Amino acid sequence: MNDFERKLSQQPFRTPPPEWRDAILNAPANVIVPASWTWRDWLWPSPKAWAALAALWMICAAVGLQGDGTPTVEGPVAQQPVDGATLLAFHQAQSLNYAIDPSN
Amino acid sequence: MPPDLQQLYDAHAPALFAFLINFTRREADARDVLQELFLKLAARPERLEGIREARAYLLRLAHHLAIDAHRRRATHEAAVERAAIEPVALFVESADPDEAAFRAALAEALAELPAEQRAVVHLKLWEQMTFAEIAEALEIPANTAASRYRYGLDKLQTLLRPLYEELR
Repeated sequence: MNDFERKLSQQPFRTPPPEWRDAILNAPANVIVPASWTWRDWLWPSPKAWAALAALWMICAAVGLQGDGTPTVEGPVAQQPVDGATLLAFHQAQSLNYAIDPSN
Repeated sequence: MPPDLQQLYDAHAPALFAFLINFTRREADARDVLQELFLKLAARPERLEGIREARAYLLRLAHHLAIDAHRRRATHEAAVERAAIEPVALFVESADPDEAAFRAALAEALAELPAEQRAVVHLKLWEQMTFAEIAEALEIPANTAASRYRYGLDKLQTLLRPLYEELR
C-alpha cells in the first residue's frame, strides 16, 4: 500500500444513524421462524378447501374406476351418417364456390 | 444456536453501512438493504452456521441485496429521477478545512467510478481485504478484482492527485 492508498484508507466513513439500530433489530423480532417445513405449512392457509378438493378427487377417481372400460369416443366421422342440413350446407358452399371461380 | 443479531449488528453494521452507502450512493437504499439483510438473518439463522468469516459473508450478502435493490429500482424509476440524486455524505465531517476538502473531493471521485470498481476499491482500502477475499465476496475472479482495483485507483489518483499533492 503506497502513501496515496494509505491516505484514502484513513478517511473515516460515517456510521449508520443510531436510531436505525432499534428499528432494524426490532423488525426481525416479529418474524415467525418455522422450526422446519411441513406439509401443514403449505396446507394451512385453507385446510378445508384442500380437504374438499381431495374428497372431490377421490369421488372422481371412484366413478372412473366403476366404468366398464369401453371407450366413449365414437368411430371415424366418415363412417357416420350425414344429416340433411349438413348435406344442404355442403351443396350451397360448392355452388357459391363455383359462382366465384368457375375454373375450380 | 441462532446468531445474536444485536451482537452482529454492533460488530458489523458500521462496515456494512460504509460499504452500502459507497456502493449505492443513497442513504435510503443503504438503510433498506441493511434492514433486509437482518430480516433474512432472522428468518433463516442457519445461514451463518459454519461461516468462518462473518464479515466477509455479510458483505457478500449485502452486495447481492444491493444489486437486487438496484435492479428493482431501475425498473420502477425514471432515468431523470436517477440523475437527480443529490450527493451523499460518505465520510465523517472534519473540522480541519483541508481534510474536509479532501473528503469531499474523495466522495466525488468515488462517484465517478463504476459501482463494481467502487465495490472492489472499498473492500481493498476500507476493509483491508485481499484480492482473493474480495473475489469470494463479490463472486468474481481474483484477477478481475485486481484489475478493477487498479483501474479504480488510477482514476482516483488522476482525480485527486493535485489536491493530494497540495495538502502534503
